[in-house]
Amino acid sequence: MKQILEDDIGKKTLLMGNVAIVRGAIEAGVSFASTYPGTPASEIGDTFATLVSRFGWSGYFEYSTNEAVALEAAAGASFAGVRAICSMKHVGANVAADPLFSLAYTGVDGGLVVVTADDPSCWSSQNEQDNRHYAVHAGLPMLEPTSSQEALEMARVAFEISEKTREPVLLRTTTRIAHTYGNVVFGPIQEQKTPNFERRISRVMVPSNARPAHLRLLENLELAQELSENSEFNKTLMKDSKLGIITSGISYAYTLDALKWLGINASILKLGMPYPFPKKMIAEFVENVDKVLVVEELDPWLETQVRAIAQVSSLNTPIFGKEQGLLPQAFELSTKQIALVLDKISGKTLPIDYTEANEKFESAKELLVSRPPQLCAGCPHRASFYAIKQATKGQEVYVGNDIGCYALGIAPPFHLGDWLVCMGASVGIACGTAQVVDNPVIAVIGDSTFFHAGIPALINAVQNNANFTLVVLDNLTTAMTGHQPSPGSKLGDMRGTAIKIDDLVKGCGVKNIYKTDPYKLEETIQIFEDAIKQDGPTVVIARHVCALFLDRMKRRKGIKITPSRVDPEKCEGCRTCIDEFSCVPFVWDTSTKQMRIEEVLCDGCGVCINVCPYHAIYKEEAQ
Amino acid sequence: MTEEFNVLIAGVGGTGVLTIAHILGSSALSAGFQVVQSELHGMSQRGGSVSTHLRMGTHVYGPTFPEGTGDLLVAMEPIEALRNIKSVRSTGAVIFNNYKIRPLFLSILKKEYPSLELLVQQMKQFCQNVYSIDATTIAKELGASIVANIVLLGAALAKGSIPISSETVIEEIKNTVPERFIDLNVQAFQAGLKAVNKL
Repeated sequence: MKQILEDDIGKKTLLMGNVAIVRGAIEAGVSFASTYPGTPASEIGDTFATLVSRFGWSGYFEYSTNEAVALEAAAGASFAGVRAICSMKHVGANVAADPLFSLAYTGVDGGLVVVTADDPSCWSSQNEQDNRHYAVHAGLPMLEPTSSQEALEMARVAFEISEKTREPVLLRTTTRIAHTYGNVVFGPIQEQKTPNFERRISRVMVPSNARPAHLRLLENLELAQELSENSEFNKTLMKDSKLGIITSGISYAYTLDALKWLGINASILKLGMPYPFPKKMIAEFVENVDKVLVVEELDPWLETQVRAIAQVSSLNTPIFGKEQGLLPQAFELSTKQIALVLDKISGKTLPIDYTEANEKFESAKELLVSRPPQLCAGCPHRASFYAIKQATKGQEVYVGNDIGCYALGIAPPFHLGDWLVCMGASVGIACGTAQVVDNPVIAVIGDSTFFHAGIPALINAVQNNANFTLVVLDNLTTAMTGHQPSPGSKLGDMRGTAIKIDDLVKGCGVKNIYKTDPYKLEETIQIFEDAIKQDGPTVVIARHVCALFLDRMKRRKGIKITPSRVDPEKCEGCRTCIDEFSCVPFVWDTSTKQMRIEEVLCDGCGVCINVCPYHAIYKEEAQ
Repeated sequence: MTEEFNVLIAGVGGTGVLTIAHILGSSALSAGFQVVQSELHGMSQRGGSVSTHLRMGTHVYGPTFPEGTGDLLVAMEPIEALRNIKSVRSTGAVIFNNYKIRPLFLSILKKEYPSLELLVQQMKQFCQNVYSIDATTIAKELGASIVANIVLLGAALAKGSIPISSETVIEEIKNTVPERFIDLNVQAFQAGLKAVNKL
């Protein structure tokens, strides 16, 4: 990690796309970095955090409360004349959209780079929205790397483009860029800028200033258009003119593999700075080939533009892509998918016939039991979910789930989740549901998500007297994305003060507040029973530190974990533990018809001891 | 120099799949190759099936490679080996750790873990060169089951036709693991080099 700060020009190393972006920003002399963690963007913030805490980086980094605040803070640094970067996952850009659009009007001083990491195929997200639309929608120049090396270079150049055009620049990646390691070569590190806050009324977006600001934005985009036409990242590689492929981002890499695989010598227009669209370059390319294939993931964003540009230039070159259904609009692409399209339109055949392999695999499938992600052994959320289920037995209860590890509570055996929409929506939607149904309504939310987007919805519940129970699953960290600090906790590095959720909830005007440690099952079940009976907004704070966090700390410190065990003399094989608690190390022995615990997988939390009706689970105290 | 060598490394989240991918990736870098290695984080990781594509050579671009073009499949767990068997070409090789990690679903569904014979039989429909290793047992004998992944990496170097020398990999192990664990990891790697069985 230390190498990221070293002025080692020409050094060759292997970097994950996210880390390459950090190196690029450091090379550009970035002074300020902010983020709200979210897969697949998290490692950008985490790398800055490590550079500050372990290697004395001279810049400033913060985990912000949410993406809107992160972007506003980064803009504040940019207004003060220094270079700033703000990173977020694709849906984070929705949260940050409000400042993002108006920052295009105010313009920036120090270069401001906004990284949006999209997640085609929803590997770790609630949707796979295509954030390239934000470039057009807000009016922001955009860069799209095709490799770790380009991620580094583009992060560096993005600051220059931002300062030349005076606009924030979008750096758009996808999971396969963000989380792919590739070769990079280091460039020189520039010095950080000295802060210089220029006071300017043009940043004040009252209507009389907003109108000229829009005209200014359009002018800035004209300049950006020129930059894009001449960008080092937009490249025409003319080979055989029979087929021309226009592509960008990771699709470019898949395209190169597919062409090599099939032995096709097509011409390529690679758009590393796809917005503003380099219209002249695109028209020239379309004119010089017999037919065009546009290869891109998700929406036909580029394809629609290529068609429009061809129309304006009166070009009749056939253009293939999503409009003909050749490529899908959902999920990430692959070399194979592109090769199959090339097979159709070029006459070259795919070297592998997959029908035979797929048939053979049918018999293998019968042996394959799926292994979905699950709550970790010892996870306090499992205990909370078990308690909610016990407390609501026999009742029809509507439960809103939210974004975080606890989303896994929707899986068997808990099935706790009638909706899961976006950060904070467990609470906001509960506000509405509770106003129209008589059944108990419960919203569950993690601590970090509560700080991020739950608070306004809770205030709404109090203001309008919505009758539901909000369960704050406080594990004192932002677990899912890699244990970044949460505002309510002192775990991890924090400059300021930890904010007590208890005080905050009270300050929001909630009258019925309960606190519990979910590891204490009986007490927690009782609390949920009471809470659900209350009228008006009720909050249960279920607090226990993340088990994964604690286990890692124990391992590092050499503290032994004592697993729980099952006494075969006492186990009646009733399966209550497996069917109602389903912890990771539980194994059903089909021959003895008894349960046992796989010791290496057990975290020794001991919660299951109180789940077994026959008291067959026990823990030997460490000798 | 090798134009393209594709490896798929599979296992269960938390068993060290990414660690061996990183060691092998840096080894490929120091052997002078272009490297691309893709991985998934977040929700896709928590105790579930994981796999990572590692590609090395003079001409590799995309982060993943098509099914049937893999030169080597390395798996930390038998079911995960079969789950990814379509990745490997018939002339490639499969090397897996025969230590079973029972999916929780088996217990929920009251089903048994399939026998190794059955799993291997299915694998051989796709690729004849199947090897197994008692990586977890060997790692436990060395004093830490956590290094089972490094034992498996040794086996992969022994039988996987990876275009990198084992000396290069040992160097990268030394660069990657904390100093006090270097000896343990090098021992694990060397044990893996010798202990692989053809099935």
